[in-house]
Amino acid sequence: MYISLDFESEVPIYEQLKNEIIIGIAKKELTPGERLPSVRALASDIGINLHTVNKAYQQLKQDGFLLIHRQRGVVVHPDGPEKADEIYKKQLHETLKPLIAEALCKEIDQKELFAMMTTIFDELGR
Amino acid sequence: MITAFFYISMLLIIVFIFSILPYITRKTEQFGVTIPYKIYKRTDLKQIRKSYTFYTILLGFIIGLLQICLHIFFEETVQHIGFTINTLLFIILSFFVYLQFHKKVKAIKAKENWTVEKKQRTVIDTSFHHERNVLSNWFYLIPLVITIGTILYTFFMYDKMPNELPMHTNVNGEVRYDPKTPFNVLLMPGMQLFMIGLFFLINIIIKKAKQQIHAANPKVSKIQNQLYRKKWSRFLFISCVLMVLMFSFIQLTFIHPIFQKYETPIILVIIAIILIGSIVLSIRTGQGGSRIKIDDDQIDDRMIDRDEDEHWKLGQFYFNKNDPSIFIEKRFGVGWTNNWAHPISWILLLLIIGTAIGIPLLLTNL
Repeated sequence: MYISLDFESEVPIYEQLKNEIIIGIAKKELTPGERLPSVRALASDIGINLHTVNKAYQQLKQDGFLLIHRQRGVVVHPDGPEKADEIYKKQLHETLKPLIAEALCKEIDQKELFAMMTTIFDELGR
Repeated sequence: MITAFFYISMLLIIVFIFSILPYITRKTEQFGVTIPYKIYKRTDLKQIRKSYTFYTILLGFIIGLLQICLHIFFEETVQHIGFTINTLLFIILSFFVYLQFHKKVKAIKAKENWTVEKKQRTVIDTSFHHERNVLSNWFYLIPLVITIGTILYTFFMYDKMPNELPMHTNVNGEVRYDPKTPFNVLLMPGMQLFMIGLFFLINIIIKKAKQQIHAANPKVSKIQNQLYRKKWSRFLFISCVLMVLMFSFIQLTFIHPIFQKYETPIILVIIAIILIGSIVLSIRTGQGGSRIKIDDDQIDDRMIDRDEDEHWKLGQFYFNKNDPSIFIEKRFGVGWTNNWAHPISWILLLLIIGTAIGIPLLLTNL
């Protein structure tokens, strides 16, 4: 999978890296069990500090997207992250609410928001 | 006469390589400055490339004349030292020629806003280093076996070898003899082991070197980069085997002086094959594989690579403390260079120079 990073963006690089990998998994461009580059290899290809890559990998591991083996290196979690439970759904609800509220204040209506959601689903290949 | 021919053709080859550098470098890097794809074809840049080539050839011509003078007016020893000095002189002076054009392109870039309306991106492929990009390291067992065979044969024949060995030979075939010892008969195998170690290291470097693909055409530039690594890895392996065979043959002439008459032609032919091969491959692949033709070469003009000019001192020396990579593609020419902000780069450099000087010194003085 190709990872594309924007160094002029306000979004920190580790965050962009995390997002790209989650999007890759959602799009099935990264398949369960697929190997990812080691922390060192990825950091040197991008040209950034090892800690930045490590931070992204550790968070993805905690969220159940990746497995970090001592010998086999970094792989996409074969079972994927835990399926959404009530707690996650509630969290997602809380995350989306202020975003949608902000959009509403800027006069984006429900129709436009739904259209946007459809586009995003298309982009993710669903 | 042979000396003059040899040295002048060597100089010609070096001058030729330097004069074509802007044409085999990546099109997005001109004289050590990052530029967008489109700018490469602009007339002012075309002109800059042409004048660089012109001045480099002019410089080569002057140095060549100097070398010719040495062959007309001076004796052998001066010619040998003169060639080394002239070569170094050419390399240093041509860097100053480069520097003038580096400044020119830098000035053009500062004046014009190339990055406006373009997105700077760093793109990498997560599977790049997991795919086969170089020849397996196991191939280097072949030259190793040749070397071991040479050592075994040497000691098997040690008593029958002449007592005086031609340890120092120049290109004219003039020879200085040293008495044989169990150590100095190992000079050639020592050189072989050094060559194998060096080429083995380069194979690892090619495998590990930073992945550099373009944001404007990631898919095509990835294929180009992988082909580039494969081709060079293969070529360097063949070169290594040829050089090891060459040293084995020199060793054979120590054991059986009857073969000495073939020594110079064999050395010259092998050096010629390697030099010409590397020039042809440089022109065919270009830096990073940028000259390899791939169908479906679509360029997304809105994207450009992240500008890293600030880390490239004088456009050619990479210093980036935040980058953990040690090996990176050169910006001007074909091949790889080091991240000089990484301590391992310096340790490796000292280690290689140390071994190259140390092996002959140790084996001929023990």
